[in-house]
Amino acid sequence: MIETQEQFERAEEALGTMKRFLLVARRTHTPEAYTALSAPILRELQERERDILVYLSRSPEVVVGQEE
Amino acid sequence: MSLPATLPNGFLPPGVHTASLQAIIERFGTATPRRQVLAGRLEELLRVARATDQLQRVFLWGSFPTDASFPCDLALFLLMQAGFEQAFRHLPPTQRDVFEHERARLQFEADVFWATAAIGIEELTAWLSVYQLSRDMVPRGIIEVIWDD
Repeated sequence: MIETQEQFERAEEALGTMKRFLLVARRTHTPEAYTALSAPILRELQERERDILVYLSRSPEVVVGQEE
Repeated sequence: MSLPATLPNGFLPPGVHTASLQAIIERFGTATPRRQVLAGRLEELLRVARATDQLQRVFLWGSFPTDASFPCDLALFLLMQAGFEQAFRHLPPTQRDVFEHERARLQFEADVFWATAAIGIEELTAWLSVYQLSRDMVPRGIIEVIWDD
């Protein structure tokens, strides 16, 4: 679970890296291979974006309160 | 090369550690029945992947290479030789299962990520940096499997 601003920034950076990986893979692999290799990455992107949305859905007060 | 001890948080120290499959299984695949099952899955998965003759590098992370008593599953990245994407469509079903996510999950209890070397070293390095953080954004070590032969 993302609980701090620093973790949030790391999570955002990781998402960017994964998306760049997909963009490169789209150019360098056949459509059939890309479909197969992108499936787990897309699923993981969804899960990680959900983690970020959960963090953003909480007000700073709530986040601070949970850190105590 | 032996693997370092896990940290108090249960993860290997940050970095990419190298170890043979045998060393990985001796270290993480024997302590509990669950670990023994996953070790068998890992051995079989890598046996099939190597049978393509195009497996170049293997990286392992997730709950298996930790001190968790009941790891959920396996998580791997397989780097295949450039050109594998052309051969991909002609793989026999047993080999293809490794590279089809849902089938790999069913058969090997593994999240198998893969690409060919065409992805480039820069993207591979960036990818590995993502997995040197847990989902909770805790720095951790991952393992590259090295082969004796």
